[in-house]
Amino acid sequence: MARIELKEVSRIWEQAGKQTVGLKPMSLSIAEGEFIVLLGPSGCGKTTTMRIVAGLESATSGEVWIGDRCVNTLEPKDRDVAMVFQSYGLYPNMTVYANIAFPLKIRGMGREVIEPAVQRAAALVELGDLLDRKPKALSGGQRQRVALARAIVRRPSVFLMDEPLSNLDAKLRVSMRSHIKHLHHTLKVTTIYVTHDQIEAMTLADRVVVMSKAEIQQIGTPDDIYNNPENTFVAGFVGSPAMNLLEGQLQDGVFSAPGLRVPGFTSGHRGAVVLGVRPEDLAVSVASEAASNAAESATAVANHARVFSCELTGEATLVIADVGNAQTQQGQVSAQLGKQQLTAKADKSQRYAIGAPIALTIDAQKCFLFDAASQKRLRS
Amino acid sequence: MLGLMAIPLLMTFYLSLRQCALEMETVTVEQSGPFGTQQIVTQRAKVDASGKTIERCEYVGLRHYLRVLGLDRDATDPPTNMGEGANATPSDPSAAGAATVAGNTASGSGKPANEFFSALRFTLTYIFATTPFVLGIGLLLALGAQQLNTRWRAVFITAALLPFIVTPVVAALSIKWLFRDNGLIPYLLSQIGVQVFWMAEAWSAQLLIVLYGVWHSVPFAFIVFFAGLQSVPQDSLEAATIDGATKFQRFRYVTVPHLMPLFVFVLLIHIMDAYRVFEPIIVLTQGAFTTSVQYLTYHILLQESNPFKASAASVLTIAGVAVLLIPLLVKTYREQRGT
Repeated sequence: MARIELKEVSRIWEQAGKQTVGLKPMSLSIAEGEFIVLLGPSGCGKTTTMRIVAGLESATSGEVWIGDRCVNTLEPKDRDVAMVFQSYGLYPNMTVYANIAFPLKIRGMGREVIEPAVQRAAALVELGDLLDRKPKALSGGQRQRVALARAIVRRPSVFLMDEPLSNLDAKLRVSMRSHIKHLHHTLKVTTIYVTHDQIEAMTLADRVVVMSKAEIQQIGTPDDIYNNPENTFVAGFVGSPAMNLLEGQLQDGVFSAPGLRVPGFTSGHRGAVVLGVRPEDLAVSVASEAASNAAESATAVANHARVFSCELTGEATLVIADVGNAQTQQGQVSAQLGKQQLTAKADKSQRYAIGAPIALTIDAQKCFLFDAASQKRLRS
Repeated sequence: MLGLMAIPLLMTFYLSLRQCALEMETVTVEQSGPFGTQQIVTQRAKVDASGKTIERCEYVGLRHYLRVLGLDRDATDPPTNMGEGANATPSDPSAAGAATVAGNTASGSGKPANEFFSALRFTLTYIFATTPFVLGIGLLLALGAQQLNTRWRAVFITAALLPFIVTPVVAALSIKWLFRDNGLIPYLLSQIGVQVFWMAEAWSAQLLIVLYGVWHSVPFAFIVFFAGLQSVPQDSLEAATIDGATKFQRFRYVTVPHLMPLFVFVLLIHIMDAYRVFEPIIVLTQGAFTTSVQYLTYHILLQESNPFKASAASVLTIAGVAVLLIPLLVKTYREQRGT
């Protein structure tokens, strides 16, 4: 167990005179025993960050500290880290036992040390009865558990997990997720976990580091990331279905966009903004009824919306609506203005026909405002 | 598929049990010319009433086999063979090849009794001498190519493949020209005081053939291993790095197991290929110091003009390669079934 400190770490690849920035200078400090998830789309630098910590990749600049050692010049094997790979990285010609024992064997430990250590690690991931098998004869979930056991067996001070669940099917992923969570609770080892799956990030992390375009977008608890996004990227990336982001104008506390008007903002900001609203914060109602209420209601209303598509997920009904089409009354729809879509999460019992007119109600208190130019959050 | 493979083999086997010859007769022909009449005694094929030649075939059992193996005590050609073709000179099989240097070596002028076994002995020597070098050098070259950057790698691969692309006869000739008396290498060697007449002695001629074999087969091993190296699981290599393995240990525990099926494959192909060694023998020594089983068949067929005996030699050759490959084939079969 150890703290990890990244100080202005960056990574630039140079090939044939062309520079590719893999990671812009970033700093991050991870507390002892913390479970950190690096979350972001592919190519955002999250795996690079992890590989730099592991020592598989060297940083172009900056320092990596594990515990009280600067490990920049240390070989991966001397960093006291263990890694779990997306495609398991098992040794296919060895049995499960030999796979788990490998890190100990290579360090020259005796049989009497290896045997009980392997048994203990195998028991932790419930592999006890599969030790004689070859990886080929195991299912994906079992293989990943072997990889986990191989990481555990050495009792390293840091776990690195590179998308460990991506190759598993959905059901296994859920069970392995809880496995990993429980394992971390048991062993309390500092863990860096890389994923592009926001659900894994939300469920596993003590803190989430959202990355995009080779830099950190936001660091925070899952709660923070979801309820208090710093910019439009974080807002749009975290949450499923994704947050609605609408471009429009803010003036005197009223947000307006084609076919949409949201009053009630306390922000004194004026000008071009992006409005963010989560699908579950949008209320859907039948058009006529909402229109009559609109006059007396202080809540925002998008009248004249039309259902673009209606998706049933079982627990809820997702209504995707075109809001800009209301402009048709003015004769023509400009492609630019006329196409804004909103996704709303309605009660599972509700059904709407495609093309049906509906009204959407938004509570300004539950909306996020972002600056249109910088994409940063506007706080009042 | 099986039929396609089996039919030629069965045909050869069938031929090897038989002996056919045209029925011949000795006739005296009178030729009249401006300077008188001449009488010539000659042989010609008998014809039947319809003008066709008469072919007599008989079943000879394993006699051809025994003769090839030198186990037939009265190793004389059956009389029916005597007249076949005007150029047929039934003789000691090695006589033609060894004519220039008769009596120099055991294999070159051996009695028919030794012929097949000496051919087999050299073929096996050739296989066992070349195989470790082919595998070893091929792997080293592949590992070397892996280290190069992309541009040099392309050059390296092209250069390394050349010996494989060149036609065997041309390749053998180029080796011959390099090593013939007053050739480049003997000249260079003579500069440092070493004088070897490469083609004139058994050991050096055999060494040249082995050299050719290695040189010609290494590219195949190289390209197969190189392809194998491209698919070594990177995850496993990196896992081993983090697990604390040194470069050599990573090679030993990840790369080598990954390449193992390819080792077996190259071994199998090379043994089959080496067993048929032919071109360097005919080009480098014309069978003088060395014969291989393949060369022997060729010799029996063309010099002795006996397709039936050649068939017997072929069948023995096939039997030999089958024996050599059985352990490897069994291993492959087990592996395939085990999955």
